[in-house]
Amino acid sequence: MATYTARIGDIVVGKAPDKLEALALGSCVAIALYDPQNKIGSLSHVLLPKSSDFKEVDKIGKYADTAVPEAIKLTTSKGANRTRLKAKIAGGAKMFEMTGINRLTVDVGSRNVDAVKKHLKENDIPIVANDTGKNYGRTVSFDLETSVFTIRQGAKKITKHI
Amino acid sequence: MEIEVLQEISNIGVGHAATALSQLLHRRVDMSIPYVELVNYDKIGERLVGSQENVVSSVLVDTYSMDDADKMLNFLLLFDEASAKNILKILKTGSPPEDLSELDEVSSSIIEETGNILLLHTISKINEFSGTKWFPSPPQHSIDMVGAIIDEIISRDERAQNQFLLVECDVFTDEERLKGLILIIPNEEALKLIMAKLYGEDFMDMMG
Repeated sequence: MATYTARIGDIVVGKAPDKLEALALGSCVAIALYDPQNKIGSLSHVLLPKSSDFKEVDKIGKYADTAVPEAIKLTTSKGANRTRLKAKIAGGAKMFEMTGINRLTVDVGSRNVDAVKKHLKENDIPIVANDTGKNYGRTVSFDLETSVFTIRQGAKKITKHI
Repeated sequence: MEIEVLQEISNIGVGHAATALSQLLHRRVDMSIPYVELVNYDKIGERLVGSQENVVSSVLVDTYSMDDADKMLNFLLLFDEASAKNILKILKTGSPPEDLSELDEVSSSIIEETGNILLLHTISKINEFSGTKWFPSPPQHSIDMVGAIIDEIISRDERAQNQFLLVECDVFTDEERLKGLILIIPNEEALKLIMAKLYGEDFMDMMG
C-alpha cells in the first residue's frame, strides 16, 4: 500500500489499497475521481477556477477547467471505466474577507467549487459527496479500497467521513 | 538587487515594530535581523513551520496604493501556537487557553490587535522610507493550518503569484520566546511601484 500526496496543481493516481491525500486545503478544492468497481482513482488539488485567465499555464492540474479532463484521462488510462467514474469533492473555504475596491465580490473558494461542479457535470460525472465552503482549512485522504473520503479540520481536530 | 533593497526596508520596518511591541508588552523586546527570501508558493508552508498542517495564528492586513487600487501588498503575520499563547499569557489575566481554536472574543481580539500594531508599524516605515502610500485595510485574524491560510491568500489575487517575499524574524523577550514571521506578498504592480520609488523611473527603464 502506498499513500500519494497531491500538492497544489498535482493530480495523483492510484489503485486499491493505495490512499490519495491532499494537505491543508484552504480555498483549494480536492477532487477524488474514482471507479468504485475496480478501485482505481485519482486526486486533483486545484488552486484556481480558470486557466484562461492566465497567459502562461504552468501546471494543468492547477486550474479546475483543465484539471477535470486531465484527471479523467489519467484515471481511465490507469484502467478505470469511464462510465463508472464518480466524484467526491472537498475544500473551497473562505478564511478571509476580500477587502478594498476593485476586488471581486465572490471569493475564490466558492468560484473554485462552482467551476469544479460545472466541469464534472459537463463530463457526466456524478458528485456523490461533498464537503465544501465554510471558514476552515481541511486535510483530505481518499481510500481507494472503500471509496471513503476522510476530511480532517486542522485547527479543531474534527474528522468527517463522506 | 530587489532582495537587498527589500531586506533593508524590512529591517527598518521590523525594528520599528519591535519598539511598538515592547511598549505593548512592557518587556524588553529583541528581534533578530530580518531574513528576506523569495519562496515558491508550494514550499512556503513547510518552510515556515515544518509542515503544511501545523496550526498557526495569522493576522492579515491588505494594503492598497492610494494612487492606484490595482497595486496591492498583503501583509501576513504568523505566530506559531506557543507564541500566540505566550502573547496571551503576557497581556491577559488567567491561564492561557489549552487550544487556540477555542479562543474567547477578548483573546482573539488581543492576538488580532497585536498583529495589527506590528504590521501597521512595518507598513508606516515602508511608506516613510520609500515614499509610497500604502493604505491598510482592517486586520483579519484566522487560526488554521498554515498551508490553508497561504493557499487562500495566494489564490485570492487573480494574478496568483508563484513566489512570495518571506521576511522571517525571531522576536524574543527576556522571559518568553515569540516566533514571528511576516510575509509581504506584493502583486506584480506593487513590486514595480516600490522599485520605481526607490531607484527612480530611470532605473526602471534601465531594468526594462
